Amino acid sequence: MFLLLPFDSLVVNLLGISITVLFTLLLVFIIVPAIFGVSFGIRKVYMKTLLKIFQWATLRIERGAKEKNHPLYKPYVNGIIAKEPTSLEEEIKEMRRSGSGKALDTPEFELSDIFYFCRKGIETIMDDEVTKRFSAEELESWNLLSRTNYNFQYISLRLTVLWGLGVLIRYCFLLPLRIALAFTGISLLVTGTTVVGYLPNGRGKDFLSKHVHLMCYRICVRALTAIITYHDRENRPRNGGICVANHTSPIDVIILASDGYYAMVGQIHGGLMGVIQRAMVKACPHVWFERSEVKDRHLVARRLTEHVQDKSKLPILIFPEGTCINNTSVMMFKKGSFEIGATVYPVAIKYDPQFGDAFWNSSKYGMVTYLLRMMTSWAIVCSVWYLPPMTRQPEEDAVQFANRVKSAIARQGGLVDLLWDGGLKREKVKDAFKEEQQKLYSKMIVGSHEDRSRS
Amino acid sequence: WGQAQMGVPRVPRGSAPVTSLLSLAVTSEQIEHLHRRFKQLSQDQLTIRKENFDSIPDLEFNPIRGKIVHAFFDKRNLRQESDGLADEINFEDFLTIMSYFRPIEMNMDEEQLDRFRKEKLKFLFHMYDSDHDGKITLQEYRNVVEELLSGNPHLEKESARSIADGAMMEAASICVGQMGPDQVYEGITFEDFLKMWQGIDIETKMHVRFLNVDTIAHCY
Repeated sequence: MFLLLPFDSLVVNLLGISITVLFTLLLVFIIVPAIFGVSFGIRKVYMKTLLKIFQWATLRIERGAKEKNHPLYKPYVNGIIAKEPTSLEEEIKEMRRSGSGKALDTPEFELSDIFYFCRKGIETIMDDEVTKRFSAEELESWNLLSRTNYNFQYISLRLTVLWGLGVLIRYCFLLPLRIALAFTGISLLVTGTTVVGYLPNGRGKDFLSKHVHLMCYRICVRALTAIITYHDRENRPRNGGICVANHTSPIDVIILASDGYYAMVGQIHGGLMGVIQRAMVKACPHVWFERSEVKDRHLVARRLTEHVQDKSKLPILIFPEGTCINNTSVMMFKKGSFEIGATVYPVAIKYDPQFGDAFWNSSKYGMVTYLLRMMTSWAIVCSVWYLPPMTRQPEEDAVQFANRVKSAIARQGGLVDLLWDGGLKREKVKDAFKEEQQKLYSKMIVGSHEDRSRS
Repeated sequence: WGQAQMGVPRVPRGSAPVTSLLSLAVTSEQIEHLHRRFKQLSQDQLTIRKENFDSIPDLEFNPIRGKIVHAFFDKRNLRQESDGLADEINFEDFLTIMSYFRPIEMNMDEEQLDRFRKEKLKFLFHMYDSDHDGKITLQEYRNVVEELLSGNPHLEKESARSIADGAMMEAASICVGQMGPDQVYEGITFEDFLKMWQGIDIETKMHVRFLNVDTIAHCY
């Protein structure tokens, strides 16, 4: 040390002191409250300040654009064309009525029948219900993130300076802080659950494992600066039940698990995820499947049923959509989890896109890129609603039950309830759906033809 | 309208009728929407090929999907001098096809309305007339009926054919009146086609309306 110049040792000392101070602050303000489940309310204040800044920024943009006479556009949310609500039958009947009047009582093929399908085809080419759902929801006001601003145009000096300041804060202050927290959280989870795993089975072990899990999820929540509002907490899932929720990103798991005790379901991965999964299962029973077992639906159903029937085990957390959707709608639920016969506790999660877009477009970004994007956003603000439990009625089958749960979730979260299969993002439409329209039309024509030829 | 700032090409290179059809009340906003849709379909390329229409899941529903996609590449619809099929179309051509589905305007006079109607019916005629010879023959008619009824696996080919034949005879009787026993009906020409659509207000039905969008600031 005495070989270094006094200046260097001063710098090193300063660095050492500031890092110590930073970690002490971290510990006191973030980690300790996370362990005990209290909150200083810092994040709420942060959120309010940010909102005020965003409002100011939007006003500035409007003013700037007006001054320069730029055209202003609002991004469309409900589609750009008005789709006619009439059905196939109504339209064809109407066309025939207005055409050759004699065709009214003996319907058969007419030249004009092609018209309905032609128009529907052009409507879908112009504007498609499904593909819209898969790209990030477009915002109305700018939240100072250049990633939500596809063609950034210099509007004013003050705004650019503000944006630059935002970048500095997010990348140089918030990002390292969050990474440190995430690291702490994950390592605590792994070590904590491994340690608890050595204890003999009993109430002590259950109690400890629950709290270790909870503590680490809470730290992770703070690592993402997630500001979550829980509604109707009296409906929280109980043992022996299944919790279903709509899926927007892998963060959903952390958000739900930081407010309740759940058993996770999933495929065993390699790498870091695998290490975490194996550690977790030592402390309390989660349901992990090998890659090969995932395809076997009966095996999956059997293991889930076994878990659910054991009342001492925690409720299972499942995302039935199967893939991440962009949080403006809810897609078709896969019926597997609804066949088991347990009580279903639906949960609706709605993110506020103003602070950061939580949607994981897995075809565009990998997991690491996604996490980095999350950690360099301002915050993740979301609301969670716990809906009252539902059970399958005797006269409905699994698919109808799944749809009922889906509608309840969509209604509560203010999302659009779609019949589409989330798997469409990657696959094409199943042939069975394709033939519905064709069958309907041919039934109309052929049915009448047969009547006539018989008479 | 040529909004150069959006990268939309200026007045199409076609003849006067094209300009008049397109210049009627298609706002720059609507063109921008269509341009965005075009970019989505073409995956940010400058042209669209037939394969790009495969990415529209809703279109799989449609029994005459093949004919609709075909119509986009049909040079007669694209108002080009030559005949046959284009391999790829650019945004200008895309707009040309979309213009067949514009709603009528309140201030159109008789002549404009008539021309509007003929344009739309010509589009439908080209859908039937797949060999571009200006006539819808019995075989072409059968093709269309078979495609429309193709979703029903229980329907035999024979039934579809007899339905088509019945409809064709009906069409012949409208257009030519009573035929002699050895007269052969060659096919439905465009004039005959027009006759069959009399009474049906195709111009009020064959359109796709844009929703009204309000405008506020957007950092674009």
